[in-house]
Amino acid sequence: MPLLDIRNASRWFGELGAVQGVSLQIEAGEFFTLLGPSGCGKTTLLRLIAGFEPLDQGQIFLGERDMSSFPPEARPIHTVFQSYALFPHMSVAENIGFPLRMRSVSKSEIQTRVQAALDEVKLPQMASRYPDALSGGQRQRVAIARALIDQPEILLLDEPLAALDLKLREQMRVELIKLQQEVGITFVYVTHDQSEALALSHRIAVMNEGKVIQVDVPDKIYEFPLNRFVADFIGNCNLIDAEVAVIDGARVQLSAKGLGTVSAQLEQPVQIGQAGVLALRPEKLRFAIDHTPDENYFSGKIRHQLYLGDVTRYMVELDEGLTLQVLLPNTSGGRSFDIGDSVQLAWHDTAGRFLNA
Amino acid sequence: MPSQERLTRWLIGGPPWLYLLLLFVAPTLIMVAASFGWPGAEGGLAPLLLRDAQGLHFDLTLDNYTDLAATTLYAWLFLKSLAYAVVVTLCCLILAYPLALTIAKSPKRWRNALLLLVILPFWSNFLVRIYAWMIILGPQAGLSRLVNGVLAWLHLEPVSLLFSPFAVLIGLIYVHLPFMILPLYANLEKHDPALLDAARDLGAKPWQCFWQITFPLSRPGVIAGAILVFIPALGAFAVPDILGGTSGIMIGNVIKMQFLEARDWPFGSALSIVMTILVLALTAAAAWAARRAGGRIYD
Amino acid sequence: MIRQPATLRWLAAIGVYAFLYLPLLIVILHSFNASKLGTQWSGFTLHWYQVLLQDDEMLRAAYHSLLIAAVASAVSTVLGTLAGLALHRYKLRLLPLLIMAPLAIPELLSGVSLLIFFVLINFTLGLASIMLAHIAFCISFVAIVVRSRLVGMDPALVEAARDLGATPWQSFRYITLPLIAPGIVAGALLAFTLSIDDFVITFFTAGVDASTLPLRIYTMIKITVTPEVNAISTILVLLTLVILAIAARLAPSALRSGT
Repeated sequence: MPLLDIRNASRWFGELGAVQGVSLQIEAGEFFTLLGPSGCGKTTLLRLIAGFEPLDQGQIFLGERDMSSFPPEARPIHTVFQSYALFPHMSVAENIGFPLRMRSVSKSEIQTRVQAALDEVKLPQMASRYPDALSGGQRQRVAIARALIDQPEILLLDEPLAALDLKLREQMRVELIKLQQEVGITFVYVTHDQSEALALSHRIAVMNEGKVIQVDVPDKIYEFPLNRFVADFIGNCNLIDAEVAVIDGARVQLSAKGLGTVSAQLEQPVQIGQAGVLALRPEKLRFAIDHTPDENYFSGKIRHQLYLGDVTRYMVELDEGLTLQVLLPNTSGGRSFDIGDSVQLAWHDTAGRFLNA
Repeated sequence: MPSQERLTRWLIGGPPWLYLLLLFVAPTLIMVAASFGWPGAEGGLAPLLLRDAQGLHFDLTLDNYTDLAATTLYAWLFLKSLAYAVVVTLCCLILAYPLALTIAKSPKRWRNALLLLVILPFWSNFLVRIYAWMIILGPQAGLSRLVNGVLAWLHLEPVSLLFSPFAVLIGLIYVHLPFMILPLYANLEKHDPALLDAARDLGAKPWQCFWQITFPLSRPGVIAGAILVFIPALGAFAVPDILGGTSGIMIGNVIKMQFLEARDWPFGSALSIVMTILVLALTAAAAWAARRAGGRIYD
Repeated sequence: MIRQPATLRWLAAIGVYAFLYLPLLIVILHSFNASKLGTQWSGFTLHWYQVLLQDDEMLRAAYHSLLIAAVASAVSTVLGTLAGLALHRYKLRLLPLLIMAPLAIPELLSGVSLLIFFVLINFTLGLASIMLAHIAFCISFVAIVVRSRLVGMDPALVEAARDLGATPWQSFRYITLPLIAPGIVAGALLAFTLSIDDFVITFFTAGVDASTLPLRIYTMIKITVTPEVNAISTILVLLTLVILAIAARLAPSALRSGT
């Protein structure tokens, strides 16, 4: 039985369907991420789980219990807020000990457990400090310690890394993964940062406009996006309108706009003439002098390049007119190609995917 | 859950709601009713509900209002009070603006202190502030002697600064000035200094900067301050009572007299109701003007 | 960008400050003036303060003022805090109007309507009627101060408290209340000052027996002007200044937003 079972949940604000008919099953011990652009409903869904918004439709079950009769304070679910929401008039120790105090735990026990929590988030000396004297990263750790101290069944995290700078963010990602593995509690994480979602999660639910589009493990979402939206939102992707021309076992030949005939991998059953999208990840293309029979092969000229230190992105205008993005690692140091160079592009038949629009 | 929230809502908001209903709304409604009543035999208010040969009935009259309308004296007094209020508001605006502007442009760390300096004299006792002017404008004081000295030199009659319209106006300005300074400051503080920089960059001289940029943007603050000065000034009673003598009477004095000396309460109520309507109409007009100027008066 | 020295503006500003302060300073000065007639300086003395302390009427008025202010500020703080909470969190019908209206109408009108009201319900005019009247207008001020303090509070804090296991009552008691406490205290001090200072409404609701400091000062100004008035005025000024200084420490922004 899944730990959290969301069944057909809906929440409306007037005419706006913030969450529409969402069903998800989240397993115990998972690091589960809700990913999507602003306004997709991920934060509203989180608030529905926490109990701050009422369900207009559907149910949320924690184990066997229907959560709709439980107010937020009665649910064994805690939230790490985006702004951390540390109580400014309480010390770090009082903040962290707050959930225990609400459960009438004895003062001495609170003290021991608070100190243990501080040690765990590596802030052992901070007990008597006040939130306004802490840095952003420290405040975040206090918020996490506070939410974990009475061992909730689920921890909800609402874009907790958004306010941190890049280096700190990357550091905290690693720590979050370690933390989740150590405590073993189910994390439900909300973010709009797709690389963060890919790095942290056991499974990702991609959301858009109040609905869940695709739920899967990160590499499947990346490699086998369900539709144009997911392909475009996760990482970079060349997206070309295409039509099914010939079906050939596990492969399909597409008539791609501006490209001509292209071979691609087949994921679901299709019909000849069906319209869709050819999705081609830039890192799967290479500049080649010659090619093997099971590769697609086109020639073009380099129009732009973006040097990023470890990799370079090239925009190649093919002879057929279409422009494709190519990602190459800078293995031989510095720039290897120039704008205007004529190149040959090759990619394997299985590199391209045919998706629904 | 919703009904529990309903209960909390009334538990929390109910007591003050009830209190104000009883001690603010009810008296106001009673005053409206009283304005249609007869004066009592020994003054005050005669019972509105009468039990006599014809049974129980309301004993009401429009006499108070008709008398009011018929007597030009009261119309004249209302006009005079309005005029005083206008003069006071304008003077307060002229005096308040440079001060509010200076505080708004001063370094941030000075502002709270400067504001406190404005608020302090305001919070001293109201009567004391009026009484102070009795001393300053008194016949023995330096100011009066100076003015009369000049007048004598010009072969003119001496004047009494105290117990005159002049004293009333000065008193009203003094008492209400902070009410103009504070909202004006609240507005000016929010002005983006970059706007003035841009104006000067484009060739505007300081005076033009003020009239083209600062003043128009400050209109919501001006209107807010104007209401906070105009309405109390219109209904003023203590200042004209103490500083005004007989020539500085305002409508507020008349109302007081009706209630405490003449004891014609229905008539006093009628006067009060007319003033209330005037005040409400002006507030509504000002709110409309403020909305057009793009600001809000009350939080 | 070169800033022009705004000397003209600063001079005008200082002039207005002088206008605000000089009258009060003159009163304070004259409270130490030995001259009976008031405007000629004839030596420093504390004589008038001594007279004050022996003036039974004045002491009685002072006692009444303090008593009324204490009761009025206590009750109006409770009711005003409730009102401030209700204004902020619940859309109670008409409450904003009930709170704002007493502030928008000249005190004279409130005073006379309360007079009629008390007489009509046969309520004897005296200390009690004054207290009830003062509570009415103080509620509005306290409500505004408390509300502005609530507006400045991060709403996520109450949610966080409930998320971590606090019932609505607990989240109020441990989170909201401590955070708005300075505003409540400032409101109480504000109410106290307003009550001690009030003249117009007190004038109409006092009846014959009750006397407060402002009423006493009024009688002294209108009928027998003795220099004692300067002394009591000075004391009142200092008293309200001290209270205001404390309130300003606790909730500086609240005082400004109240206008």
